[in-house]
Amino acid sequence: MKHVTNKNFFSDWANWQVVVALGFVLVCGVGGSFVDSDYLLQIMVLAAIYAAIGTAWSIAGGLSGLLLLGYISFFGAGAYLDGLLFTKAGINPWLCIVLSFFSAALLAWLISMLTLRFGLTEDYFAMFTVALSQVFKYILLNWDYAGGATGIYLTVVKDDFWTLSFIDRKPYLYIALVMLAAVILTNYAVQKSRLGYYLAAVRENDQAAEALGINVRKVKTQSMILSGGIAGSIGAFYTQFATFIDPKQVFSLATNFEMLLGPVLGGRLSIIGPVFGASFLKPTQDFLRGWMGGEADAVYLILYGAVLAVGILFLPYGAAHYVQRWHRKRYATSAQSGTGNDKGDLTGARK
Amino acid sequence: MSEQLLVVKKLVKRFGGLTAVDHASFEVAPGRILGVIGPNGSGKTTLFANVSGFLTPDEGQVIFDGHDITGRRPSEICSLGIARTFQIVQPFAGLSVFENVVTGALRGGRTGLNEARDKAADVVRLCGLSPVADQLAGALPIAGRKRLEVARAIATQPQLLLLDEVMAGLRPTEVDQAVELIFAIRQGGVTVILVEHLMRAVMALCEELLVLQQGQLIARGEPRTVCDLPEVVRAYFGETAAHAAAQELKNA
Amino acid sequence: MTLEVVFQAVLLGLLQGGVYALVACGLTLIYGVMKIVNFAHAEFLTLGMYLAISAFQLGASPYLVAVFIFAAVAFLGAGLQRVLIRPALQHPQINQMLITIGLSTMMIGTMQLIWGPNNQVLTLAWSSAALEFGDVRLTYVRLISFAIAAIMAAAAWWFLKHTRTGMAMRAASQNPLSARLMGVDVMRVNMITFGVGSGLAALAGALIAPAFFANPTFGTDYFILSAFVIVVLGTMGNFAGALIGGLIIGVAEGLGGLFFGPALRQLVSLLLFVVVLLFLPRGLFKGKVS
Repeated sequence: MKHVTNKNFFSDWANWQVVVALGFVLVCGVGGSFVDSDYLLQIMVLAAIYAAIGTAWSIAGGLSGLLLLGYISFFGAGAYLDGLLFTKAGINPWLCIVLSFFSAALLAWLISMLTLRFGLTEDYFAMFTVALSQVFKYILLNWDYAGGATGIYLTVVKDDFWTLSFIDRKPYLYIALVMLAAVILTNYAVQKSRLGYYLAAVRENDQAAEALGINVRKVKTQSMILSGGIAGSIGAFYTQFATFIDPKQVFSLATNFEMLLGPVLGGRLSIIGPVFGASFLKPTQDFLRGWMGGEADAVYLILYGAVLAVGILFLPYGAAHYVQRWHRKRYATSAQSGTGNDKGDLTGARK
Repeated sequence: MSEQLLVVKKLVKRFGGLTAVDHASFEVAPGRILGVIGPNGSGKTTLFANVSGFLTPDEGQVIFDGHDITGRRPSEICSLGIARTFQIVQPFAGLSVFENVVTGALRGGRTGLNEARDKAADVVRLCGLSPVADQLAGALPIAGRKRLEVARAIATQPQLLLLDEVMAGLRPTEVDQAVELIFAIRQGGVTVILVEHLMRAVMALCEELLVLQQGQLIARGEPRTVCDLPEVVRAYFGETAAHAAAQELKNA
Repeated sequence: MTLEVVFQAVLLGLLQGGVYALVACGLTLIYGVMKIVNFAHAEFLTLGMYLAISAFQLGASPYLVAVFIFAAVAFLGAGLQRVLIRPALQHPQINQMLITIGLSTMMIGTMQLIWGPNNQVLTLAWSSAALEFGDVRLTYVRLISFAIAAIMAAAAWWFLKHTRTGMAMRAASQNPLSARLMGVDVMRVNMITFGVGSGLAALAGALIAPAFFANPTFGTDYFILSAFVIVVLGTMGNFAGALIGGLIIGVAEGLGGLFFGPALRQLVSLLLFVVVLLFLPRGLFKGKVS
């Protein structure tokens, strides 16, 4: 019997989200073209980067339910790969972005192979990824060829699209937004595909998933590869944008957890969660820190920690959860016919 | 003997000093409904776990449809055609009932998404889950969740279905419905092995019974006959009852 | 590279390891009972250091107040658990860990506020005095730290084995459901465990205060990774494992520092971590929780 399809494109949660998210990106792009302040543009680019990172993280850390706590390992690896290849070997940054994707994906594959073995709890995975980021930091701090503690500097003399170097901040914003849009679409595509079902199943109950023919380890590895790879390419872009990277920056545990704020407080099972979460939190953070800074840095830290702790206590599934509940009511179908009018919302709102 | 769908040869599973399954051997012909009974702790669920790949046997073999599946991954075994339910239900609580079944219908990638959705709709109807198809699986009462467990399993289009105490916690009317459903499943060409405590269901459904006690197979045969055997009575009720049973048999 | 130099490194490593063990024991206790990785653990260590420094500035010897610091921070830890972590018990595991991260940041900020971001140090009049035999030189400071750490570890061990609460903790770490069915108030046990664990970390901090410069991120920068390595090596949740693991890692780092230079000391722990996770993921005690 043919499955009845839903009547409205927007009644599907994922569809609704992707349109809203992409619309937001468009608005930011248009709005950004009118902004002249370099300071503001800088903040916008960083927000876009964090949003992209958060949305990519959500594939492994949200949809798959993996305890991916050390995500910055991939970001930093990509950043350094670009830094080294570009400054030492003159390799084109656009190519570096692609290479960083594959390198980070390979790293993710290795980590998965090592830590997602049958019988090892996910805490190991969590700790391993965190520890790995610090191993990288440590190695790079002591590796003079890569600049050691001083890091890597990029010199930019003029706007050059080919080498992804600009004096003007705006092109970076546009590129960042394009990357964000790409990540949004990737996350959306995953959710809509068979992989999306597998990830949801593994997240909800990996034993049951295994019994249904889903190779849990393979699926987890796939989501890791995707998430990790994307983080790598974003890292590469970051190097081009920041024109200066050092180990303490791109492998910082503090930054690592900051990157998770967006998806966790925004809603890691959603698309709009990481996007809006980061877009709101990162600039707020930057403004607050800039404003408070210096003496008030301690107060800033206390505030930040409190927001994280309290935020999680009150929004355990993220803010998007409430939006989803609204969406469910708004587009409620009469379930009487019971063949499932809902095309499927794999990020099921709990209660 | 390729006519036998499942062949278990001298399966042994130990946990430290305890032998949970002790040289169990049996075969199941296609299209049968086989029951596995025995007192608590006799190794029934462990047996299932070994057959479905969740545990690896220490000794022995499991041969399914001619393939040696001993010690393979559960997902592999599922794609070869064995599906199982769990004693404690394991729904995907955050997904809807329909989505749960679709996940099964995807058969680990052997079926396309649209086809899986269509198939899932059929299964949902067959299992009487249509009224709750869009509800979250976690919100269902126990009977519904058991039903969902079965629906999800048969969505994988198995040749062999292992049901682990699927009647536990059901009310009498629900038990009757479950029995009907299992018959319907067999009608569709699926071989069924069920581990069960509820004698009513066992008698109604099973053409053949295996009796396990402390990991060993102590009896096999038709339900009526097997239940009167002294060994079986002893396993459940102890020595005195066994004597009485033996007497009855002598006098019969 | 004489034998005595190596011997010295080993002994120093053992002394250091004793303190590591204390920190790791706290962490492993918390993990064993509550099944969460406490990312704020390092900050309790730092807090202990600061408290010892302040006590010293008020005229008290850090070693004498160490036990009081333990008690005070234990209460603080229990309270924090009650307020921040317990409410998240039913939520996904990642939430609890992130809350400890938030707690960690809050603590760093608070310590920075109270004691300032710059290095603080506690110098005892006899900081440099040492026990010497042959070419080996062990400062009294380190010896006393080790001694107190050993005593406290033994006390904690006794507590776990012989008191009702201790047994309740062990029961809860092996099987929370059964423990609850047997009348153990798992909520209360969680709270106490977090308190004790944090207290141990603070105690360790107080003990090492005379030997290191204190700053708000000290714990995170220098101790926490080693603590994680020890916990995994000794099997997560295994108290004795943490003790033994602490000594092993202490010696390993000491030797590593000797052969590879002090800058790479931390790298030794990190690499050990990777190696342990690869080859001994269940730790030395193969998954058994004491």
